[in-house]
Amino acid sequence: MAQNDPADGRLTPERERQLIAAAQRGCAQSAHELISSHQQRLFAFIWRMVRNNHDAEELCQEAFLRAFQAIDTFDSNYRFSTWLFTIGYRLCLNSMRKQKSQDLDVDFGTFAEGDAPGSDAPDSIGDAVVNSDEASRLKEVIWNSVDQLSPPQRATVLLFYRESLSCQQIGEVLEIPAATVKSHLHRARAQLKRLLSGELIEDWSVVRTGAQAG
Amino acid sequence: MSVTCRHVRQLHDAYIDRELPAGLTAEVHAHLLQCPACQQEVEMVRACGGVIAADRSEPQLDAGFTAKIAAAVAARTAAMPLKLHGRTMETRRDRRMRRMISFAKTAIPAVAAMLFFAILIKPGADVVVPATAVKGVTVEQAGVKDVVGPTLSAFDETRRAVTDFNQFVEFAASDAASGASRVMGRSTGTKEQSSSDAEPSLLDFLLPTFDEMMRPSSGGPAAVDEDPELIRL
Repeated sequence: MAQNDPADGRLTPERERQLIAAAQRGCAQSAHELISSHQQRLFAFIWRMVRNNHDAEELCQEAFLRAFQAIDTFDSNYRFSTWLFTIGYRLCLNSMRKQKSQDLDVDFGTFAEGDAPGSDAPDSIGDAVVNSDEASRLKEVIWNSVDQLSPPQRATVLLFYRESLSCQQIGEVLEIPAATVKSHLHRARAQLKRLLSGELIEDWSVVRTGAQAG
Repeated sequence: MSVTCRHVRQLHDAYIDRELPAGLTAEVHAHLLQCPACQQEVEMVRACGGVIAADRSEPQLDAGFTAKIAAAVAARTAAMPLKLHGRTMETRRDRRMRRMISFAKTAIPAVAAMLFFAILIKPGADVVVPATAVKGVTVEQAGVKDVVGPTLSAFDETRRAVTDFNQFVEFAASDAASGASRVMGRSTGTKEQSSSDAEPSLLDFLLPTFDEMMRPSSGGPAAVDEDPELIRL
C-alpha cells in the first residue's frame, strides 16, 4: 500500500525513493504507482500552460515517457515531481513555440461549481472567493489574467501556488536562478493586480463582505 | 518612521510571503488597519493566490490514463536496443553509432553492387587484374607495366647522355690544360717540345675554325699587325 501524504495524496519522500529504486530495477508496479501519484498534478500544470486538453494529454504522456526512459540517471537528491515538472515545462515551451497562435478560448463551462478547496489553501479569503456565488466570474477573470502572463511567469505562479514550491525549487524546475524566480513572481503579481484591479473591484467587495460576515 | 502606502506597495510581496521581520510585519499590519486601499490591494493579491492554489477546475484525466502511460513506457523501454530495464542509458554517441551502422548496412552493399556493374560494363576491361602489394603500396600490375617501361628507358637515355657529357668535359679540360701550356711556351719564346705536339688535341681542331670566325672579312691595319695565334674574346 502506498504511503502517501495525508493532505493531498502525495507520496512521502521516503516512499518515492523506494518506488524510484524499484522502477530503476524494472519494476512495472512501482512505475505504475509513480505515474498514478503524479499524473493529475502534472496534467493540471501542463493544461494550465497550454490550455488544450488534447495537447496537455499528449505532453503529459510524453513527459512520463521521457522521465522513465532516463529513470536510471535520476538523482534521488531531488523530488521526482520536480524532475517531472522540469520535463513538462520544457515540453510546454516547445509546444507553445510550435503553436504560435495559442487558442486562449477557455471552456469555463467545464468548471465544476462548488469544488471543495484544498486543505492547503494559503488563506481563508481565497477559500471564500472559491466558495462564493461570484466564484465563477472571479475564477474566470483570474485565470484569464494568469493566461496573459508570459510562460515563465505563468509557470512560476502555478508552481508557487499550486505546488507550494519555494523559489529555489522553482528555479530548479525552470532552470533559472532563484532571484529570477522572485522577479517573475513579483512581476506576475503586479501584472495580475493591474489586470484585476478594474475587473474585480465590485465582485471583490461583495466577496470580502461575505467573508467577513462568515 | 511610520510605514506609508508607498512602502506597503514595495513590501507587499514579502509581506504576503511572510518574509518580513517581525517588527516590519507589525508596522505593515498597523498601516493596513488604517488604510482600506492598501488592505484591498494586499487582500486581492492574496485572494488571487488562493484561487490559483485551491481551484481544481482543470479537466480530470480518465481512469485508463495511468495504464495507457504505463503501457507506453513499457513499449518504448522495450524498443530501446541498448537499454532494457538495464543500468545504462543509450547515450547520444551510442545513438549516432547505431544510426551509422544501420546506414552502413544499406550503403555498403549498394556501393559494392555499383562498383561491380561499373567494372562489368567498362569497355576493354574484360580481365580484372588482381592487385599486387609492393612495399606497402597496392598497385595494379597493368599499371606497373605501362609506367615502369617508359620510365626505365628514359632513365637509361638520361644516364647515357650524362656519361657522354662527363667524358666530353674531362676530354676538353685535359686539352685546354695542354693547349694553354703550349701557348704560354710560345709567348715566352721557349722551344720546348711537349708530348701534346705528337697527338692532335680538341683545341687543334677548334682553334682554326674559331680564328676564321674571328678574322675580319677585309684586311685592315689591325688585322695586319695581329698575331695569327692570338685568341680574341
